[in-house]
Amino acid sequence: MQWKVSISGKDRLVTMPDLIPDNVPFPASIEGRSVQLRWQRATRALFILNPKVSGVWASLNLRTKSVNKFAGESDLLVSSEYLPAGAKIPVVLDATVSLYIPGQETREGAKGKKPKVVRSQITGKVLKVLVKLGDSVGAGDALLIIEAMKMENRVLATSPGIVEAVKVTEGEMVSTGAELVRFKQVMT
Amino acid sequence: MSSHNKDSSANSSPRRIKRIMIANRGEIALRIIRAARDLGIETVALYSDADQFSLHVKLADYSVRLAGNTPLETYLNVPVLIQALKDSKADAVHPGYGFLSESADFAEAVTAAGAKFIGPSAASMRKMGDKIEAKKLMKSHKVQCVPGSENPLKDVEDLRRHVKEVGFPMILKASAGGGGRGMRVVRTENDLAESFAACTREAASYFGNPAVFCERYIENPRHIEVQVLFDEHGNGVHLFERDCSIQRRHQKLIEEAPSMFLNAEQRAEIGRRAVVAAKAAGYSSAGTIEFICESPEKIYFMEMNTRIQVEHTVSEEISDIDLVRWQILVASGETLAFKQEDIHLRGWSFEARINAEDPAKGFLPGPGRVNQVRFPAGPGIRVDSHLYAGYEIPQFYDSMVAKLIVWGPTREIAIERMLRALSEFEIDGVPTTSKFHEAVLRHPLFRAGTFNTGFIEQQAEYFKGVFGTVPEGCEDHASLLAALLAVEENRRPVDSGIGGSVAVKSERSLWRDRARLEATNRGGA
Repeated sequence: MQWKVSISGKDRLVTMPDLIPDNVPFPASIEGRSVQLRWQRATRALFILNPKVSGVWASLNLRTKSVNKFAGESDLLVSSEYLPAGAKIPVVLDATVSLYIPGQETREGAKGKKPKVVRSQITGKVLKVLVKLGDSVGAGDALLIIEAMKMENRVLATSPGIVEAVKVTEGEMVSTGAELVRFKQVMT
Repeated sequence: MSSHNKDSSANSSPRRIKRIMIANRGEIALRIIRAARDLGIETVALYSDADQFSLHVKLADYSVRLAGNTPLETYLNVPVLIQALKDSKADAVHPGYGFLSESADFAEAVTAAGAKFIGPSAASMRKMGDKIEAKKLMKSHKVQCVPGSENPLKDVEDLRRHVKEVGFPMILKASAGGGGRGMRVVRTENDLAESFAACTREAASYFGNPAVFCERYIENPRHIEVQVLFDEHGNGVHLFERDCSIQRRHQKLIEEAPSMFLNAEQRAEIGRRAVVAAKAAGYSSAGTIEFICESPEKIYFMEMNTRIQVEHTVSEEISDIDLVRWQILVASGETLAFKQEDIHLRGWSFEARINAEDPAKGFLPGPGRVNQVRFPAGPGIRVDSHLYAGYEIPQFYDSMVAKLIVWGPTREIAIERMLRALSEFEIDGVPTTSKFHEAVLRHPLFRAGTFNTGFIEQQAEYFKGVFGTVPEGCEDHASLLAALLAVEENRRPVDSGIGGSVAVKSERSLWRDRARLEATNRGGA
């Protein structure tokens, strides 16, 4: 299966098997170049065989990983912190990963205007709803206040728009990824 | 790390404690259980519904459920706690930090129920725990304080009356607050009403007391505090200072002991002042005098924390004194087994607070399930944490999930050990502040010791640059890892349809299903 991995705005094509075997070397490829990998599930280490020196594996030790997928959206947001071989300080990785199917991009591009959705980035309680249906908001305007872990967190609009729907009420518990506010597309 | 022979308790205690009820949760509950177990004392854990699977419940000898989840229903609910105290037949209560640790009313209720409150007397808690009362007392003992309102603010109008003498910027503080909560900096007249309302609300909700006062806000000071330890017979010592200047929104993130800011002479002076302050309050048990430092010469008393603090660990490391153990011994009526001249400063220690927050997203808290956890180890490393693999971090309480404490013979070695330990520290499933700590520890100004409480804001650009970046030459490996994690995420056991107890070996890839679906859709379009 082919994957499109986007890191800092640059895409790379990666081939991976459908199922990753545990601690058994398997072939994969990046941008058409073949590589040998080994994934140790229990310790969560990825070993990459050095193509120049047979038998020498570089190890990537995972400290964290999180993979987020929101309903109706095809991209996966992969975040990880890992210590690469030869480094002292872990690498912070934020990548968008999507299944690569030739021709898919043009189809998605034609879909056009999707309503803009603001999702909760935390699990918590909706303390205050600051906007209502039909409100016109600017970028940076506060939409809601969500309380989590003793902190009041403001949810801000990232771009201007008109509120089409408010999906939560004050006092309600929301989880990460829950839809909070939906905007009408603003015509410019 | 080594324990100290000063901790030996040769004299028999007049009041032997047999069972301690812990009115707290998280790592501090574990810390207290450990100290109690070292002394052969039993423990009673309390737990809210969200905390029923917490480690402190497992490690304590007994446990009592507190129905509900919010702090007000559970760990702040005095009548329920006192009932639990009676039911569990504990003869002492350790309040930990936060929650009711600085509530004189709670201490009195514990005493009235016939148990010993492990901490200072209610009277000295009232004197020092209330920030407004404490400032009055310090002024009478000629300890210099920051200018501000002498009494709780009645309303916004009352606050406006103080603007002239205090000026802007000013800081609003919950009189009963602590731990960086319940504080607001006000910079303009326009923000007074909103800030006052928010501060009062937070004060009432988290500390059960809406009283708020204001004082001059000293822009970017150095936050230095002194650990003191007093017995009930008037003997007291200080365990040197801690530098807690690395803060974000008044929330400490990295603490160290001692401080680079002070020389030996200034260190002795600030320690002496702390002992005077604690003595003035008739203090016993472990406590902390916090100072605001504009310069090593201009040091103001800020407040006293009449409890054990999160960062007590670094003082333990550099003094070799087990503070929680001594809290229990002091509460048993014992006399301190050491004098000031017996306590020697050894090496350097750091503590990094590992919070379930994402520093790349403005420290957004991320409660949730911890899939995997692996603690660092090796020379000079200590981890105080209640985490375990499969633990669900509740969203009702503080976001701190671990304290990583290191000790080294020098500051440089301690920093290197901290970096090494952070690189080994594995917490999977929730975001953590680890990468933020690494960024701080390798910053040249931090290394040089020239920083203040404004460090994080001043270096905002630096921090922006270090999160979410894959260094050059690492992109291919990073891409392979990202794709692998995406595939792994969708590895799911096939539902056998006969209930959950059947172990299923075969697995299917959701991605294969999706690809098949995509192909079908395209064929049909």
